[in-house]
Amino acid sequence: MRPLALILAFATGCGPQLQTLASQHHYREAVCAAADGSGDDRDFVRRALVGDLNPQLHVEVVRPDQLDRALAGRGDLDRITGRVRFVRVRLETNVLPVDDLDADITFTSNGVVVAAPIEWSTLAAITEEKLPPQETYSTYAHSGTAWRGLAAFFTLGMSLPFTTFRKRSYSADAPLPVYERTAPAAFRLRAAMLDGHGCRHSLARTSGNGLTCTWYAALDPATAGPIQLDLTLAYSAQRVRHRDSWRTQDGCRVTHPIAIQLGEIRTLEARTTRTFGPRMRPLRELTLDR
Amino acid sequence: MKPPVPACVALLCAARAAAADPLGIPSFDLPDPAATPRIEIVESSKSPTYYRLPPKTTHFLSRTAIGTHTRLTGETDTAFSLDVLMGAALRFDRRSSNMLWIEGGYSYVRGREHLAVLGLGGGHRRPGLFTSMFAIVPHVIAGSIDGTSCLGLRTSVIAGFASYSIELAHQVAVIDRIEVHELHAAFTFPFVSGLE
Repeated sequence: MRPLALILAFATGCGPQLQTLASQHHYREAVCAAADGSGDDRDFVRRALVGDLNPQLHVEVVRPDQLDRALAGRGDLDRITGRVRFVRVRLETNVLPVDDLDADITFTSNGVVVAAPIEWSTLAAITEEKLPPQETYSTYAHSGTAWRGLAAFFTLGMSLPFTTFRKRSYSADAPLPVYERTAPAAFRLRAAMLDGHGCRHSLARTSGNGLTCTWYAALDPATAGPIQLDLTLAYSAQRVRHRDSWRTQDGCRVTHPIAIQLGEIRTLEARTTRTFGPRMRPLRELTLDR
Repeated sequence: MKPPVPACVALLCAARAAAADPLGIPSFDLPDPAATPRIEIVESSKSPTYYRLPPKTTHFLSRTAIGTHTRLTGETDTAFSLDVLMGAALRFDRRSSNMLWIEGGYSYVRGREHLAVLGLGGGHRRPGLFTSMFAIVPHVIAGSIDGTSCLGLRTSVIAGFASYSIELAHQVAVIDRIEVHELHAAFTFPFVSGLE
């Protein structure tokens, strides 16, 4: 039996059991085990991770009166509400002992992405305003100037008669007051959604990671099919180098896509108000009335 | 949804942060939803280190050795030898420095021997570039010695550091029912590739 046991140990590897890693919250090891393992291993680790992560979600549709307050008379409210529904999604998680944690969302309907990110181009299309063109600036502050300066230094100034310092041009977005003047409604909508910064890592006493996320999305109110919120959680762990190894190693990463059905867009506001109200809801108990 | 363009966000944040409503830009005023307090999950004990080690336990081996081959039976004779071998080192698990050593190839002794070599043995080497190594690898040899077919055994002891190693082997071959004993000494470089 002993030779057979040795052969089996050799064949299957001698690593810790996944159940042990999960029960003792050794999630860095579990993430790497899942990344290197089979589909079943990844499913098991995902369930363990999301169970302890306990993501809490809140979805809220921006009402027309809230939109009107933000626009403050700039832009045609009726035309804007006919083109877009702004949705805010909030996510908060516990802190887990992993090396990195990330989350991202998108809205889909029958597999097609139906939400646009909150960018100047999106807002300008919604408000039918023209964005200011990029402005061209020129400056001496570039690498060519630095090299020519170094050459002058090392040649004690003797290269200066043969050196021409030149400006370089670059394009950048116009200053904000130009946006406010040219596209006032888009400017106000952008400013109203500044807290949609994506994810921030939560403060933690340990070296673990947790998330606080806020996203805004622009949905088309004419979307025909049921809307689905696709949340993707990503857990990362760094590999450990062998003591005398000179090679850096790729890290381990496990992603967990989660789909939450939100129903038809015409009933989205009422249903999210009924489901979430003023509180965030744990992901595990999230069901929406159909 | 990816975050907004950083430059514009930074400028807009600065504009809003200067005062409560510095440019008269109200937000949507969506209230902050109440959430269950966050819990910090900590590991119950010191984390094992296994799966975070590199998963690769099979390493490619390549040995090119030049040295001498000395006949001990009958007329003592020393000749130049060249070995070209390839194989694999199979570490027992991610943490282990012990390995199963498999290699095969061709061995040439100037003027008298052309041998196919196949070996299976054990070795010890810590992963990394500048580490020492030790292996004992018995090889089966088959080919021709002095123009006559033969079969035999070459037992090699290999010791090395970084990319270099020295091999000392005893070879016994049966030629026409006569055992011929030889001593094989070779300097190997590059030692292994891919062992990290």
